[in-house]
Amino acid sequence: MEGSSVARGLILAQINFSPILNETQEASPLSKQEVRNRKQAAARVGVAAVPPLASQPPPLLVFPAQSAERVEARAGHCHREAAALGHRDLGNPSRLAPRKQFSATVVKMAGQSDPHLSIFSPSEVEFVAEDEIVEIVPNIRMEALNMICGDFGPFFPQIASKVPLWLAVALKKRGKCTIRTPDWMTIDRLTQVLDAERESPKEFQPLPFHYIEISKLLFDHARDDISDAYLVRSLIEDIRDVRFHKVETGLETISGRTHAVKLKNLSAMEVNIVRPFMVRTLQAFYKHDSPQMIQQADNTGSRPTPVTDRGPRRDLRRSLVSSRLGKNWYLLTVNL
Amino acid sequence: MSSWEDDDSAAAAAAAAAASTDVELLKRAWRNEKASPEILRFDSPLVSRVREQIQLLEETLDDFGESGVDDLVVSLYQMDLDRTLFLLRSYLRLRLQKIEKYMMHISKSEDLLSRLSQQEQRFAKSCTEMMEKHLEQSVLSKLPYGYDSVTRQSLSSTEDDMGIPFDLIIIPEPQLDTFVFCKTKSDVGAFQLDDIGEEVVDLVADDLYVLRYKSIKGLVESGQIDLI
Repeated sequence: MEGSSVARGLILAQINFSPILNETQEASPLSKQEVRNRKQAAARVGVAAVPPLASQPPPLLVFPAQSAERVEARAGHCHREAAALGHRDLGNPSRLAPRKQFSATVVKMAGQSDPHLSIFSPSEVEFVAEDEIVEIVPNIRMEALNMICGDFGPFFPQIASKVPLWLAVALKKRGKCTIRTPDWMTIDRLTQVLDAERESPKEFQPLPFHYIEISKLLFDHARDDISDAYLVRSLIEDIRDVRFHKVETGLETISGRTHAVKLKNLSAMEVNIVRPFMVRTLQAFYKHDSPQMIQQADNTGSRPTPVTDRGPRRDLRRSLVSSRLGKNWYLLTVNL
Repeated sequence: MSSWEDDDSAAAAAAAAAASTDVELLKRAWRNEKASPEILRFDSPLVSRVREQIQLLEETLDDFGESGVDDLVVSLYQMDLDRTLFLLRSYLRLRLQKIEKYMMHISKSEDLLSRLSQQEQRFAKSCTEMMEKHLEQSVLSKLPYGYDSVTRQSLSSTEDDMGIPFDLIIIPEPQLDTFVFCKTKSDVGAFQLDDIGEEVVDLVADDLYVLRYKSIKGLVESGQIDLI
């Protein structure tokens, strides 16, 4: 996955974009307006990310450039770690550069604040995808492998066998097998999917959850096993673009009344890319639209209704605390 | 909670045990842990099973070295070992990061503490002690009475003007209100999204949703839904 094409896609991802709305609760006009302004401003400079709203608690505000560096540093760390472990696929330095660019783009896009705890790096997503099962045709004889992750084989020349993708790639690299292209990666099927993607603006077509990673690994390591590889590749890229565009337009439908979003058939990599943006948008809306916030803002002097869900009151509490602190300091000075 | 907790989770757990290898289970734990804002329950039996398998494979690999097994086979087993090691280390390290971040919050709750392994509990405890000692020596001992607590802004800030208690607000807490991406494993049916019951979503098998973590917490714990 090249960084440049990701940058073009900006926000990606998704299928069946159906925000679930709470019709009984009106969104606060202020927050709606605020977010609309920000979206417009962002659009003007060609950035799709909505910056964090002003009421975000301070610990969440991290400068995008800074967090991008942190993620990059972490991605680098991951690779070194993988390399140290002897993991051939994750540790390959030739694939480091585009990845770094990739994660940095994602982070800059959304101002993600906490890369350490909440996000999978692209190489981690790929790591997961490497466990998907593919079919290989070995050209050697080999005993069955009883591995921690499962039992595979025995292998006989010219007899197809099912193995995880990482194993297939390892064998392929040593010239011990050919990898059978998965059914969905044929021109016929992909053309169908692409047409269907284009026809249904609200839905994503079913594809393997890791279709981006699988096709990338196959193109990198088993290109000669794919018939019409060039065409297949461009079809997949087209599909990706169409889907990213849908995600982008889907995001515009998020509003203060969105309490849940359904993303049927969205793939793993697409989820990973849209995650920081989506989560922060939903959180910001949730915070601004919570009835407690609105009510308390209306009459701050009255006793707030006790609620079990105290999340949205956070900011208010923070300000109360700081004013209290001020008062106490004042008393202290008088006493002295 | 409702009935799904009892029948379905038992069925789901049985199905998962039959269909998944320990590595699959660990991978799921790793993904859930990575995606959830708070620390989840540590699966001691699972981790020790994986450890055993790693140890076994390491021994087997040593034997291979001596008995001259084909290099190709050895390297394939080595890769399998490396992948499992990576997963396990990443999982454990991830949990340590979380514990470090929320140590004060975790150590004041029995429920949270019980989610940690014994080693993690020791880590959380000594970490908290060290942090408290450090803060005490460097700052708090020099502050006037009433302002010298690690956990409170000041003595009087335990209640606000209306007598409503503040929480221990200066302790970092995980944000349970955040939204997470999740995938359903089986039909959950109509699911209530908030306490009031205004939001109901029909969770269908193998679908992908973005939901508030707080509302699906129970489903994550019972293994009916996977975070991604």
